[in-house]
Amino acid sequence: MKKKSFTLIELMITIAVLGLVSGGIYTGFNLSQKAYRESEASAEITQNGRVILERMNREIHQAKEIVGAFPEERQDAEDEIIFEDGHISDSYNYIHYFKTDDTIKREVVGYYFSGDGGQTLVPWNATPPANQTLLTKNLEEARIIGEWVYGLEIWGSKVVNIALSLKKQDKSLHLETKILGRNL
Amino acid sequence: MKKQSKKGITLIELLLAIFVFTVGILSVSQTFPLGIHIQKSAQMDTVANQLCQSKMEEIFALSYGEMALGTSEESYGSIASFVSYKRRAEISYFDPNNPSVPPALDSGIKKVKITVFWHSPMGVSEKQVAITNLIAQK
Repeated sequence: MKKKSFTLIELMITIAVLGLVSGGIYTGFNLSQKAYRESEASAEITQNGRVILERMNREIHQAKEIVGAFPEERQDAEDEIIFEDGHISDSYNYIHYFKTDDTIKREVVGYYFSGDGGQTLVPWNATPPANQTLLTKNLEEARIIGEWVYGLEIWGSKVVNIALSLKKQDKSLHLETKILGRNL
Repeated sequence: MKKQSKKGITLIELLLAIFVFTVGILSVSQTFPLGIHIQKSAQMDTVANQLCQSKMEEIFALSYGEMALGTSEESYGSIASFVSYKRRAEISYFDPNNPSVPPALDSGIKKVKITVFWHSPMGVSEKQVAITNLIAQK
């Protein structure tokens, strides 16, 4: 009878060992979760930064004209850019990249004269006929192309400079690039 | 007595089991920092590529005549906001008939090579990425 049961000591050792083992498992689990979160955040900002720059790069390369006076110095940098789409030759489409909250969005807009029922697209700086004004319409609605952005600076009208800062949790990334508009 | 001791697990066996288990957990946990380092390394590759491309674009903006021959280097710490990168730009004449030797005379083509160096968190050696472009006189 006495031999068949556990003693208090045996039970306490069991509990202690169990505690150690489950503590080890918990630590391992916690560590894996932390590693997962960190690498996920890091991968995500890298990917978002890369995609944003890649897309802007391709379209600015081909841009025909930047709308408005664009700052040449970094201290006057803008957080948006509108330029004429160089991939479309038979119309006037203007691509607009801008930052809202922590996302970068892209939309396509067009300009037309208020008296024109057909809303034929005209250049951004076209002079409207008497008693008409230049209006804008949306050709492609704004879509998010990248997230986790806390800073966007664009400057330079010939060589367009873009500085992009991304942040997720405690991971951050800063990217800068220069784009020579082949047609600017 | 002897019969009973065979049925249970001895303390030695138990300690051995815990030891093996701990070694296992430790080795698995080693892979997490490794993964983070690989991630960081990939991120640095992306930044280096952008730095390389920006310099190339900067040179593209110049006219053929303005592209001065020779090597210019921005050492570690000299590129604003990218202090852990070094960048080198080499411009030479290029002869399509003998691509490996830069000719002494201008044949209307210049070769531009941009190299970016950095220290990756993986390993001690310096990593580098390079892009080369040929530019013809217009």
